This record gives sequence, structure tokens and C-alpha cells, in this order.
Amino acid sequence: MNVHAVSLYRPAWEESGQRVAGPDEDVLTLAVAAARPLAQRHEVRRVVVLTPNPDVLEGFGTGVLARALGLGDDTPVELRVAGAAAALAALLEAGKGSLVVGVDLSSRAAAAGAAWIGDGPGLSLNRAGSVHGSLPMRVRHTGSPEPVVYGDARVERDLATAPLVERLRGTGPISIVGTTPSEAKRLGARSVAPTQGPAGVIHALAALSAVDEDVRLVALDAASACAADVRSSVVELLDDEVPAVPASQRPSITQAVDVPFSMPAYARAFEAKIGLEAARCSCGTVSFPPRQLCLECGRSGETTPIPLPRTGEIYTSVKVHVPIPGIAGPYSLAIVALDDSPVRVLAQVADVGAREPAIGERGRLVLRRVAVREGVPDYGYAFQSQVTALDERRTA
Amino acid sequence: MREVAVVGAGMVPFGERFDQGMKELLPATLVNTLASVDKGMDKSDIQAAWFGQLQTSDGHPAGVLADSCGLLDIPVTRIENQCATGNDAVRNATLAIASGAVDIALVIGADKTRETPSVSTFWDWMGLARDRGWDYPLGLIAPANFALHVARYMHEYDVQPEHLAMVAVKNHHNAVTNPIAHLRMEVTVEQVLAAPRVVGPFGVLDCTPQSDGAAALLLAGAEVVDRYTDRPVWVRGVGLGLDRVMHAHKADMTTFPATTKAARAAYAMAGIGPGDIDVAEVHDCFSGVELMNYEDLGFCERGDAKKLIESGGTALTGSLPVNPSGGLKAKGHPPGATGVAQCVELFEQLRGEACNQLDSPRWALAHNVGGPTAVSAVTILEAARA
Repeated sequence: MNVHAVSLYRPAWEESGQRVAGPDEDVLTLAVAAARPLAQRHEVRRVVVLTPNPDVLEGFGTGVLARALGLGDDTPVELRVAGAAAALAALLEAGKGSLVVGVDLSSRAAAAGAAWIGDGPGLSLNRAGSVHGSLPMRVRHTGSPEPVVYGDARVERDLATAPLVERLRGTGPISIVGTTPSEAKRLGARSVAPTQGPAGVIHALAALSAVDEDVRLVALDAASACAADVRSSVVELLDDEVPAVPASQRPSITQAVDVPFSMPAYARAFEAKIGLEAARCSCGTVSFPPRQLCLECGRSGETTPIPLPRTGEIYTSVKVHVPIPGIAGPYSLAIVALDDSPVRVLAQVADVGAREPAIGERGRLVLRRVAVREGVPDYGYAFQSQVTALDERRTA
Repeated sequence: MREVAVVGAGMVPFGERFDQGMKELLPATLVNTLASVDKGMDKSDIQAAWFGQLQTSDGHPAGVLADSCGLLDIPVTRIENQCATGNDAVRNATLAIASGAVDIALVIGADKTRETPSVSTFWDWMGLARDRGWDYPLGLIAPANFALHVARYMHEYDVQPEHLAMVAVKNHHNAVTNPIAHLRMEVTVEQVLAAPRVVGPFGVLDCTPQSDGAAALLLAGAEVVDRYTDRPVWVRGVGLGLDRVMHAHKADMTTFPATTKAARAAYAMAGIGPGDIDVAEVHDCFSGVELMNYEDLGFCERGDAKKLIESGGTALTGSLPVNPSGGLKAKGHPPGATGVAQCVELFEQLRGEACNQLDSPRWALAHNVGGPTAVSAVTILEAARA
């Protein structure tokens, strides 16, 4: 099996040279951002989402994820707690048609990557071994944002990191995911990933695909490591690069409040809302949200679902300056006219910062956690003021 | 249909009335309204009541009206039609009298807007007008609801923030001399433009305040009018119009189709056109909305509202004064009461008794547009023939 295609995503918000997540992003939305370009192009048989830091332990929206990727509701979707080593192991074990998605999400950095496994051309990964060390020197307890670290960097290197790397070091060049770039350098290795978890492993694969030589990739967790030889080859690389916006301009919730939720209303909207599907009457009239009674021809119930275009332009937009309890603000709302479609949608504008979106601005619809209502994440689409090459190819 | 007249009109001051619940506001308003009838009216003359209330503060609206006012032996119907509630209550009572089913009807509107904590206010009100599965969680608050329209309107017709500010300046000015107005203070264009921003083109001074209040009318059939007054004000036209409830479904957001439909119905019933109107109270919940109303009501051509406000044509001294009471902007906006209070102002204008009395107006128009900009009600009144 080969890694046939790789897709990368990093949030727009930038802080201290790192991309960080917005208030409307979580593990699920980042996974979808990275995975969707691949799901659009390849047949996906199963999805594995790997993250060291799941924001939801029970009630992860596997159905939301499958629907947002355009997969059937019977496609296996699995969420695994995993660091870099476990992520590399998962890639080595993945079968044809697997979509392996890594999400690294902490307050200091966020990235996502997805790899589609096929038996055609692509990056070949060959297992080079794995090893467990002694006790972990970094331990992150459930619910705490940062790990507890044994307070002696030299001991950590000499007793934890270095022995693992030495066990797995081959004869050629070596790249490491799972430790800081400076630590990697001390160990005689390169670090090519923006984050150091499962997303970092996939970003490293993308970087290595551009290198003209075979490289040993060593992925480290707190006390274990996995290595693979990466044979340089052409890989389908989809990098959905979003321009950076200063994180100091990120909207935030100024006053927490329980936003009322109606599960039946959400359940009724679900298929159309998460799948972005309109209804087309047999007379050709398109409605969104779907109507059963056609307002043009009067037929009832003669509709079929059709996917909506995901790019469009702002018909009207306003910025909400006044703080609204329970909503991260300031935020902007836009009514977006979708390309080559009679449909307009109302959406919040994502990743916009201090700027005010303007009428006529082009962009695309992206899955976001639009609200948290009575503790339940409410997923829907936001308008992101950019259209990348990926979107143009999708609509072409 | 037989003719219907307003024979009495009254209200209580609009404002933050934390000391007054529904059970206090309603009887106080009824007493004032009965007292306004020239030849007097006994409460027992009232044969039916229509009560406009948007919220349900203090419980079951119709029951609270009947109970607190001692009207347990007549039918009481609560009308809820978003911000068009008040004028829709007028419409329903008018049609009942016109049909001959009722001779004397009470129309009363009231609301309390500060009865829940401010942290939940936005969500409480959005729950009245948004689809729970779709638009509700997005934070389409009331000012954004209108600002999405006004932003597009300004874009298409090159309307400047100054034009919006002129509406606020005019309506604040009018409210200064209105003793029942909520915000009795002058503002300048500079102050309006410099005020803290709320949503899109609206700053704080472009927005209506949150007001409590109540207003009422007594309507009578033509045959019984003489018992109560020699100076009735005639209800000549009523109209109600609707539009799509989701903003994404509104094809042209530079207009409120609900208003054009309501106005067309009311003008047709009255047998007049917009050029006949001498004074109007229109729905200026946010400054720019008044400009759009000028066009939808036919007071000027599409895109010419900015010229109309610039020229002073809708000031007290203009050819078509709009919102002489101060409007929602400055008089205040308890939604259920608002449309009824507009008719109270116009009743006084057409009888020569208003605080900002105009020179012998004959035709008057009241207008609301509301909810997800999906409903409008228009009432046309005519002064008694001399």
C-alpha cells in the first residue's frame, strides 16, 4: 500500500509564528477541512481520525464527519487517541481506501493532515521498527491543556528521546516528528512538521515527498517511537493554504450563556445542513433548506436531494459589533449567492479578523462548529473569504 | 362594509417601566383611553377586544387583559404578528366592526421588553423569529436582521451613513416635545455617526430603545359614532403583507415586499394613493429602515429616499412629515403597542390635538414591518369631514 494522496490544512489564525484554531474550529472541523479534498477525489472505505488531544471523548460526531465528507452513514469512522508514533503505525497498517486523518489541536498550535491509502503510485512507507522506552517524562492528564514534564531537559533527552532515536536510526538521513525542531537537530535529525502529533506526521510525509532521497521518518510519543522508510515518489499533494490572520483579532465569547437547543429541529435539518444538500423538484425548482411543497409547480414530495456548490459571493453582509452572550464576537454575517445556483445561504463569516467583509467578496462554505448549544456542538457552514485552487478544481 | 371610526385613543408613557407589569399597564391605558372619548364611554359598552402582544410576559395575554381590566364577559383575542402586531390588531378589530358583528371594540397593544436578564434577551427574542435548526444559532439578532437589508440598500443606491443619521436626528428632535416619548433628547449627525457601533451601518443612536408601554384605541361602527364624539377619525384602509421568513430567500433586499403588499391593500381600500398622505408614522426601528419605508410606501421613487430626507421633506416642516411623535427611534418601541401608539399619535394629529401638531392634515398612514422582515401592516386614517 502507498500513500497515494496527502491533504494539508492549517487554520487561518497566526500567533507567534504558529497557526492556531479559531473559536469555531475543533477536532472534527479540522479533520473535515483536511479530509474533504481527498474524499472528493478518491473512494473512501474507512476513516480513522487520530489526535492526541480529543476535545470530545464521548459523543464525537462520526455522523457529522461522514456526512460532511460526502460518505454514507455506514462508512466506518473511528476516533483514536494517538501521538505521532501511533499515527505512523496506523498509516503503516492502513488498507486500501483508508483515509487516515491527523489533527493536532492545542492552544499554541493547530494543524490537520489527511492521507489516502491506495495501491497505485504514491509514497511508499516501509516499517523500520518500533520501540518502547521507560516511563514517559511527559504526562498530560485528562482535562489539562498542557503536559506535566519531568523538569530536566538533559535527562529527558538522554534517557527518553535519544535512546529511542538511536534504536531506530538507519544509515541514511533521518527526520523526526514528536519533538521540537531544536531537539531534533541535537539528535542529528531534521524536523519538517508544523506540529508534533499525528497531523505533524502527515505534514512530514508531504514535505518528504518533495525530497529527492529516501528518508527514515521517526515518530516519537512520550515514551515510544515508530519508524518508517519513506521512499521518495510523486504524491498527489493538496495543500489548502489559507492566508494568515493575526490571532489577536480572533473573536471570543465575552459572556458564557447556555444557548437553547432543539434536538428535533437539528435532527430535521441534519442531512441538508451538514451535507449542504438542496431539494430539486421534478419540475427543476431548487429549494434550500429543502421544501417538500414546490412553490413553483405545486407538486408535493417529488424532490430529489442535490449537492449545492460551495463557492459563491457575498450579496450582503454586516459585522455585529455588540457582544452577544454565547457567541464568539465580533462576528460578521453574510448572505452568500452560490455560484451557478439560485440558492443563497445565510452564514457567519469565518476567519475574518478585524476586517469587514464586503459585498461582492468571493469565498467558499466551510464546515464549522457554529455554536455550542446546551453543551452540544452545532455544526454548520460558515463563509470563508477565499477561494483556493482546490475549490476551483472542485467546481470545474 | 360599514364605516369604522376611532372615537378614543390613549396610552401610557413609553420607557423602562420596571414598576409596571402587564396587570398595571393595561388597566391604566384603558382608563386613559376611555377618558379620551369626547362624550364619554362606559367600559361596559365595549363588545370585544383585540390585544396585541408579542411576548407573553405575565402569562396568557388575552386572559391577563380580560382579568386585569375587568373585561371577563366579552371575547378577547390576542394578536401576535411580530412588530406588525399593533396595526394587525387594528385591522382585525376594524374588520369585525365593518362586518357588523361588533359595534364597539377595544384595540390595545402592550409589551414589556426587559423582563428577562439582558444576557438572555437576544436569545429570547431570536427564539420568536428564527428557525431553531438553521438561522437561530448564527446570531441573527434584530439589528442584524434589518442591517443586512440596509447594507445592500446603501450599496445599490449610494446611500451614506449621514443619510441614516439624518433620520435619527429628525426623530429625536420630534420626541423632545412629546411627553410620552422614551428618549427626549436632541442628537446631531456627528453624535449619531460617532456613537458606539452596534451592527453594520447602525450605531447605538440609529437604534430604537427597548421600551415598555401600552396604547389603546376605541373603534366604533358608523351608526354609533355620534354617541361618543362629533370628531371621529375614520379608519379608511387596513392592509397586511407577508414575505419570506429566511433572509436567504429574499430576492431583493433593498425593499420590504411585505410593506409594498400591505400598503397596496390599504391604499386600495381607502381609495387613495401615497400622494394623498399628509402625515405618516412609519417603522423606524433602525434609522435606515425609515428610508427604505419611504420608497416601499410610495412616498418617493426607488433610490430617492436620501433626497427626501436631505431636503427636509419628512421633517415637521416638510410636505410629508414622518414620525412627528419621534417614531420608534425616540418615542420607543414596545412591539405590541407600537402600531397602536402610531394610531394614537395620528388620531391626535387628525383632530388637531397632537404635541407636534401639523397644519390640518387630512390623511394619515401608520406602518409596521417586522419579525424576520416578513410581515407588515398598514393603517390609513382620515380626519372627520369639517
